[in-house]
Amino acid sequence: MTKLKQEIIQRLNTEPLSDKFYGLSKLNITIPHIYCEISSSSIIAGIKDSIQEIKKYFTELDIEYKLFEVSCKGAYHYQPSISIQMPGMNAISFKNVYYNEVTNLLDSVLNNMLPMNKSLILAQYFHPDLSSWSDVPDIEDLDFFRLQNRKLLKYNGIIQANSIESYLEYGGYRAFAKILNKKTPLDVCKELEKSGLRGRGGGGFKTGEKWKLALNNPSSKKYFICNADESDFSSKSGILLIESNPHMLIEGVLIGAYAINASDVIIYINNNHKLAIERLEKALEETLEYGLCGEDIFKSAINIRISIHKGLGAYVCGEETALISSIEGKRAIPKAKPPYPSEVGLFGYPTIVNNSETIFNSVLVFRDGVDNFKQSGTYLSYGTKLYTINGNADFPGIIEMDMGKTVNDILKIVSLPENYNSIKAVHLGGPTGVFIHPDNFNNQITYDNLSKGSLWFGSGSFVILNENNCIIDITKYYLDFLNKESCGKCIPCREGTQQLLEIIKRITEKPDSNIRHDSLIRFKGLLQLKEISEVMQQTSLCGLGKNAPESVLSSLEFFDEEYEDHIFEKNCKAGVCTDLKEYVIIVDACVGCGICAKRCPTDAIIGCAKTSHFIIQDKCIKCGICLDACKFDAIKVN
Amino acid sequence: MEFEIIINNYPLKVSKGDTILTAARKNGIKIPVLCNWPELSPTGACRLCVVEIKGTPDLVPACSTPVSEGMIIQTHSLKVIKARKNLVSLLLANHPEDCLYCAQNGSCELQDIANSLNIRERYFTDKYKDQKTDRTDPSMILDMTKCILCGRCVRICKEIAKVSALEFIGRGKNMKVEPVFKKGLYYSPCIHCGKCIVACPTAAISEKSVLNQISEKIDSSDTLCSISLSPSTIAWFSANYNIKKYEDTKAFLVAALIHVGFKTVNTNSFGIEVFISEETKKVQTRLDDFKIPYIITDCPAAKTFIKNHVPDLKQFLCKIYTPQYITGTNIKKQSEANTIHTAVAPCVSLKHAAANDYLDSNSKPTCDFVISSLELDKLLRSYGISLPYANKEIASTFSAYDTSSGALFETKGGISETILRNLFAINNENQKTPKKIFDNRSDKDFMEYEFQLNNKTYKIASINGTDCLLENKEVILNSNYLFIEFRSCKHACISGCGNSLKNDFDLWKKLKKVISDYDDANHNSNVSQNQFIKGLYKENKNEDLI
Repeated sequence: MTKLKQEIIQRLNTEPLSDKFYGLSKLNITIPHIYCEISSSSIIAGIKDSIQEIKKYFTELDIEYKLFEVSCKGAYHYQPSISIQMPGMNAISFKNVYYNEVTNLLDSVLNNMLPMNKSLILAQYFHPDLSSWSDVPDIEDLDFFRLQNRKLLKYNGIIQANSIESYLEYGGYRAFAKILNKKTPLDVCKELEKSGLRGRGGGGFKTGEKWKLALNNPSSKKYFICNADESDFSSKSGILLIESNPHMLIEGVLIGAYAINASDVIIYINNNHKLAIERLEKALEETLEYGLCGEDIFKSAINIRISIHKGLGAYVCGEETALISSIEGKRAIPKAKPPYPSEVGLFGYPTIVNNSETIFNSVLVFRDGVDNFKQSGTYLSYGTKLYTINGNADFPGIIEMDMGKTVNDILKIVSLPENYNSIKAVHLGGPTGVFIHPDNFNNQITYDNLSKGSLWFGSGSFVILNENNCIIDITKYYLDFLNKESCGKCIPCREGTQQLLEIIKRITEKPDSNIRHDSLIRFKGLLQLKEISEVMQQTSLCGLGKNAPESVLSSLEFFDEEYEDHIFEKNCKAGVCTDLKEYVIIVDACVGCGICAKRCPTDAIIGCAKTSHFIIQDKCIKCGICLDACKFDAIKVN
Repeated sequence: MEFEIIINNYPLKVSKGDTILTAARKNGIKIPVLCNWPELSPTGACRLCVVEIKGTPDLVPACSTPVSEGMIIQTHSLKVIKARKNLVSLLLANHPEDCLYCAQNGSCELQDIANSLNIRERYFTDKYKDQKTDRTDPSMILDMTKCILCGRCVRICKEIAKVSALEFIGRGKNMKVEPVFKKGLYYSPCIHCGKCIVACPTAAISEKSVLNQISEKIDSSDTLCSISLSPSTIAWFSANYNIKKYEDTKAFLVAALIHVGFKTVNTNSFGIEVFISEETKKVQTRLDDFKIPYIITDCPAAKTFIKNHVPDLKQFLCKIYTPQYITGTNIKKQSEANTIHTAVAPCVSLKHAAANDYLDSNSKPTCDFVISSLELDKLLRSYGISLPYANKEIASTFSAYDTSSGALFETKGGISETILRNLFAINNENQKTPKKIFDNRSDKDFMEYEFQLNNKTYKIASINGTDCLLENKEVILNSNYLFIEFRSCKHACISGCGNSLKNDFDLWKKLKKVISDYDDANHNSNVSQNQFIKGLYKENKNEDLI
């Protein structure tokens, strides 16, 4: 054991890193190497079946091979994705390799030929000393990767998530070793302050300053907490980072704990992220074995214990005081600030809570240097930001962009040019985020949301909406989520989200014929929306309540004509709000064939044969089957 | 350290560490609150105390924001008032509209605030909460449709009562307050101290009222009604109707109640004095050996607390019945079979105790009804009676010989004072006993006193508040006290929820003064001077009376 530790110290201090990086392509291999991307997204896509097929293939043919589990590139539309390197050849990456494609693919690749199904080919990792595949692009030249600035995701698709050796190979733990040997905690805080790194969770507080506050606190015990909860359903970037590189998170929390003199680190993670937890636990075991955490790290008399706390998933746990209560075993409810957690936090001790993405970025600062970090991003918003691309995107996934890029820059990567015009809006920042109108697609996305025109990234979720999406329906969806996830403590958030939801619901619901001034009541609701939003923003206790009305307000500002359509015309252009529709049979056109009555799933259509039929509106569920079934165009939609 | 801030355009001197709310209150500026409670740490849940600070875009809660130098604060600007109005409107959206039938009508804080903000229409509409009223408990009703989730009850139960019988359940719109395990209050660890009733700003938690049944019984020709008044109730009437003397109030009340239709009117002093003399006997036997702690309490909530929450102290608890029970049994013994006895008590725990005595013994109840001082006031008002009453009358036999010990007993430190007076009188028959054993009582929750008896020094302790008992548990177990006085409320019985539905320090002070004035003026201040009880002991040949 001690010998191993000595060895590691030696390696971390002396071993130089090769300056050239050729991805998966490696010299001196003698048998085929298969690299399977395993992440929660690829498991959903079916990578496990493909792996089984690969194993079966090789055992049947009795060929020697090596199979590695590597991290995910972040491109969900390429899943399940595998890469293969044959001896003497460049590594080549394939996309959408479902289990039925495996045999054909391996048949040709093992014979150093490209597969018949050309749609499987993604790219190759170019290496000057290996022979390359003809007509296969270099992975660096693919638009999806070329237009990003992949710093955190640099080794995604290459590094093996479940092996500390793989991380050490790509420069892992060097930053921590350097800090432990040469820098005092104050140096670390100052350096981070100089880098201008700001919290990626949404608050945007300067991380260096925050650490310094905790460092200056004389308390004998301090806690460093990593918030990896990721309970926002539309943003999974932090989880991808942990799944693909758990050791980098551990290195980050070690640096953070050292910088504030904390002896305990807690990684708070949502229990639903099974793969991330599994890999994190494995990584923790390995670091303990290698002596990188625990008691007396590298004989520096520094003790840092790391533990994983599995939360049950609540959106409000993104708020640091709520997260702390959750760890303490209480209800996850935000507390009044001040006192801030950096003074009185977990169990009454000073505590720093950082988002996982912030911690990953702090490793970059110390590994590549402050100047290198500051090269990306814009003034006051340095570094890169991960975005989770959802909605009607042609290339959904997780991408990494410089701070200060525009919505258009992102759309160029994730959307095909021909679909570009059909994009109605982009929803940025998760449930508490905003709708962005195409007019504002050229505005920068930065922290500086106060200056005119710039956008705020929130949780980094990026939802593309086109003509088939109803803005009001999406707003209702987010509000419903927030209403359920509100902790219920303060009045503006608990009652405000409920009221907002009720008003929006009323707008999308079937008009009540008994009320004479129905439209007027709906319109009055619209006026109330603004009032409620204002009081929520001004008086809510935590960020959830303060930002909850953002979607409503931005939709009101940019898509007011949709509201008007819904209220006065009782019409949803996208056809999503089905309650507003009314199917009616035109008496003159109906010949009484009875096909619609037979097809109707709820028996809402009645009538005798060869006489005009009739739809009972109370029973109708607006499925539209009758409209498709009628050959005489006798059914119209109001 | 003091510095200056500007509130509502006036410069004010404030001290460091104050919150905006306390600073404003000290200077007579009223900021509305629904969740803030003086004894509890601020939570910032209701957001009604928001104020505008120059330089901050959002409104800031006054209850949890400390003052800092040079702050410019507006507590009632238009922006603030609008926000408050909207907040209360949001609260009222799902609040029942049955104010006229509500137990808190007139004393409801939500009603007050809505009224002062001049909210004149239901601005937002929402469905009412669908929650069953919890009527499992004989003394309290939980009607959570009226709950505004301020969390006072939850916090007071957890932080001050140290019981945690109530807890928040659910999130967001489904959040509600419920007794733990969702089975109803009767099955929860509640000790019925009534602190939550006082804390609740609405009528979500209220005491069970039996006034209507009492009125029926008074009128019915089959039954004879008797009533016993707790001394703190008499003090309450004295303070509220500005009658200087305790004895006068007592005489007025007796006359008024006889007018109402009660056949016999007593005071609970009788039960209390029997309690004191019985406990004095016990203490007398401990004078030589007092290594084992002995806890004396008349408070049913305190007894339940020790039994259920501090089981290690259970064996040291006194085994005597409550004074209310003693009075009740004696009245029932001496009067006809169809007597209906009503006790007036300062606190909900006695309601619960009366019901529980009945449930346990499977016999006829000793007290058929228990009502609070506030309810008695309502009863009298319903008969058009207000004090001072035209006539005065003397209470019937039991209470004719009352000493002031009975009244003093219900104040803070009263148990020890009255028992020691009796003890001194018994042990120094030849000497004149001092009128007051402890002249200057401190106002702390935990008090320790030394005194000399038969040339020996003894120590006693007085513990007020359940949290105080938990804090001093080790002290109780390790030091040798002659006995320990314990009550569940910090200001003893006079501060019970039957006396006021607010944390009314001024009222408690008044009640205390009424009782201490009575005690000072009365030459009959020792239980041993009560001729009636002396007679009872003679009849029973010095056997235990209960």
